[in-house]
Amino acid sequence: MEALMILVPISLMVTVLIILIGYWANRSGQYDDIEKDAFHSLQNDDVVVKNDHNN
Amino acid sequence: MMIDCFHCGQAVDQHRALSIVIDDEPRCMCCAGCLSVAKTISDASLTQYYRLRDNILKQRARLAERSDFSLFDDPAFQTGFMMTDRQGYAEANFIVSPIDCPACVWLIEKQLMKMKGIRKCTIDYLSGRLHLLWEDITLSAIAKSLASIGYTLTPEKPNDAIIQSKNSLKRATFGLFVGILCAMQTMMFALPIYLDTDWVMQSETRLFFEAATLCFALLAILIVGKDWIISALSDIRSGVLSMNLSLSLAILLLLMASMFNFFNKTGNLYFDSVTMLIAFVALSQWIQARINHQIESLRATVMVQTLPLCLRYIGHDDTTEYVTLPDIQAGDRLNIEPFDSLMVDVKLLSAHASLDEKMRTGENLPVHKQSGDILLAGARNLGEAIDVEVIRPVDQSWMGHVQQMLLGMSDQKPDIIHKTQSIAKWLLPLLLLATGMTYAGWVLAGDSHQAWLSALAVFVVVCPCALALSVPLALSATQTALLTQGIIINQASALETLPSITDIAFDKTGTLTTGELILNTWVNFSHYPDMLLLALAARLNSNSLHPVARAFYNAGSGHEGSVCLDQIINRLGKGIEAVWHVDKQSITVRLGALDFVAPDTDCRQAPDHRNDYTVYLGNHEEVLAVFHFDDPLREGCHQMLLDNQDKHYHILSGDHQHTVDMVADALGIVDRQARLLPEDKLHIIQSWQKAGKKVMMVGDGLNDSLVMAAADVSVSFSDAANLTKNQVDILFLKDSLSLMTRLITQATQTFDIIYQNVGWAILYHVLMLPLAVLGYVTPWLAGIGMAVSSMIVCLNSAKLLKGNQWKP
Repeated sequence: MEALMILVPISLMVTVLIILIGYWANRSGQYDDIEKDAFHSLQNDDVVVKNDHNN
Repeated sequence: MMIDCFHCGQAVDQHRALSIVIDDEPRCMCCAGCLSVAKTISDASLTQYYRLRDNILKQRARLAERSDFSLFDDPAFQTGFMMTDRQGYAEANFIVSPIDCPACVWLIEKQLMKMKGIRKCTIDYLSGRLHLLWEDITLSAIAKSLASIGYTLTPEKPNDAIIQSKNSLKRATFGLFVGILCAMQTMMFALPIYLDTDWVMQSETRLFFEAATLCFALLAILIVGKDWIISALSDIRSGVLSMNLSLSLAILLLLMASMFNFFNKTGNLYFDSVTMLIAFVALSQWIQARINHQIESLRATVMVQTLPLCLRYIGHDDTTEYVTLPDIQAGDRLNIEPFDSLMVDVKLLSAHASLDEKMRTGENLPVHKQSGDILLAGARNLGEAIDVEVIRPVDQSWMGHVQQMLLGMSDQKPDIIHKTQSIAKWLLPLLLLATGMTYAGWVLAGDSHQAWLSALAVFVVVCPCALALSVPLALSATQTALLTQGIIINQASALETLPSITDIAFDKTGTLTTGELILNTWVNFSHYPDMLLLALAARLNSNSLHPVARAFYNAGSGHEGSVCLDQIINRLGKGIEAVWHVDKQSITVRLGALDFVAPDTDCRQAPDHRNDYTVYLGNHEEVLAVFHFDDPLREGCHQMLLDNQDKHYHILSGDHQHTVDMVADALGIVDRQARLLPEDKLHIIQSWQKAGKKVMMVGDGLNDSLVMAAADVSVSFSDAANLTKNQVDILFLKDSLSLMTRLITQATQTFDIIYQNVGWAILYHVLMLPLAVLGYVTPWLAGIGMAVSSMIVCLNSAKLLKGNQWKP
């Protein structure tokens, strides 16, 4: 019982922590396209120019 | 000292530059690659390329110099497309035109790299979409810089539908994440309680586990369920009884009953049922949101929405300014560049023009116009830049007229989603009535404890979750399956009508045929080798946008280098003339109609029986060759006819009778009508509908928009006019009519699955309701039953996801 007194609240806290991590990951767009990266190496890259004149 | 490479224009140190003599002058090259290309051009006596290039660049620079780009800096205009990114940079998408080859991408990239303030640019070669981040520089300067090298910048409207679908998907993803996590955690703590049938577990431990399930249920409701509860409250305020209301009531009743039992230590707890219910609904919402986002993403790729701009002359000189469409008034003079489309009805001021009117008339070949002719909106300029005078602004133009008529014709079709919503509206009062009657019955029987349990069980049993999922899940699954095949469903209601379609009507051009001419047969009357003549014809057409020119290019490309031409002149409406240097002679050659090529000869080749496009090559005195072109049938035509023999096929075309006859004969279509105006087609379709027929219209031009809106189901292709693509029910992304069979089969299967789902949901309610009323079903068992019935509906709908992957 003593062990459960510690483990159950810990599991609750871990769940809340996982939810917070999930919220951050979802908000930062990590689940926006879950298939793109798998195909990325097979596709032609877009032309991306990073202009450093002012950097 | 830095100098520009003569070939590519890139800056290079003078001391490191390589040198080559071109036109008797030493020219600097930046690298061995440019040197090699320049040497090849020089060796082939094609150094006129550099003179031509310099002239074009000068012309473009002059055009940019005399144009006013201040519209791009107008804050009111910028709000329509410009955003600010997280780092504070200005951000927008543009369509750059014309992008013909990867070299255009390279050139634009180099031009933008030179400008200070450009933070990032991403160019998609296929769509011509430029994603730009910038600061400390005006947008007009960017637009002017690109105009100076010949590229037009058109702002792209932010796609509200895709932003909305992306946000919905994000919400649904997080909801699914929390729902599944809470359901798993709740079940982890609920399972020991279920297994403890002999009550050997310490009461403190049981209480602890029950408290944990309560926490997770509350977490799931607060994070995921709250949106449904808020939506239900909003529906109540609007006087609407929605599925959200029944779902929210079920969750809250289960929660309250469980909390009552938890704090009073009486009866069972249903926190696990609450979290399972939330997880299942979150799963179905995520599936729908994901499919919706996929469809919107693909639709955004196919249908680019821009803020069209026009070049309007200021005063009476040749200075121009960029203006938006609503700002254009009757009497304005406009400059229409090559490839640009007319957005308003105009009068031609230039001497000649060559226009593609396919989107309006369905006619495949360009039409030639003279000064003073009226040009209607929708036509595309295929020749040199032309000057026009506006006679009707956009809202009064032909295109504006079509748009207004289309607005009046929308929302006349059945919608299966509305039907299920109306069923749900009726079910909710019945649900509340059944719950109330059960409670009252048990109270009258004197058992108030059982009254509460039975009422709760009835509420959960009758909650129409499976019924609510039965239609949307099946439609989502079928939309995904069709999407993987290259079919976008714009109107889900069309799937309902498809199995009952009796007649399919086609517009000939661009639907049954590809609209792209190919060289079918040709005869060489001269002593020149075949490949040389073919290369000559291809070379003569190298600067033309005519469909015949593209066909020549496809047939003779790769050998044009062996042909040396000079003084190429495009005689609008007649053909092309040039001086051909061959066998140490200079011959004037002509390509076009016989009267233009060799007017004094009577060498008229009868057109091939399968086509009506014939072009002659001659030297004014005699015909050197005659070419026959064909507009081939679209892939899958015969297969479609074979697979759907129970349908009646018709051709309703604006083309000439003999053109329609050729296509109809090739396919064995008996009912064919030619030279029809859009109004004629509309009357024919409506007369069929009055006779009880269900009609599908397949078309691609603006001229078909009215008929397609009137038809029971409309189908078009990805290369159709934007207005048609927006209006159409179903869009084929592949140029194959074999998709038709797949579409009709899938629609039939979809409604079989929907009827099975609805049948199962009703059977479940009918079987479980009496048991719940009589007290044989406890609330937790009802919760499991609801989850299982929803799962059966999900799995049954998933059967529709069969199909081959579509590859763009």
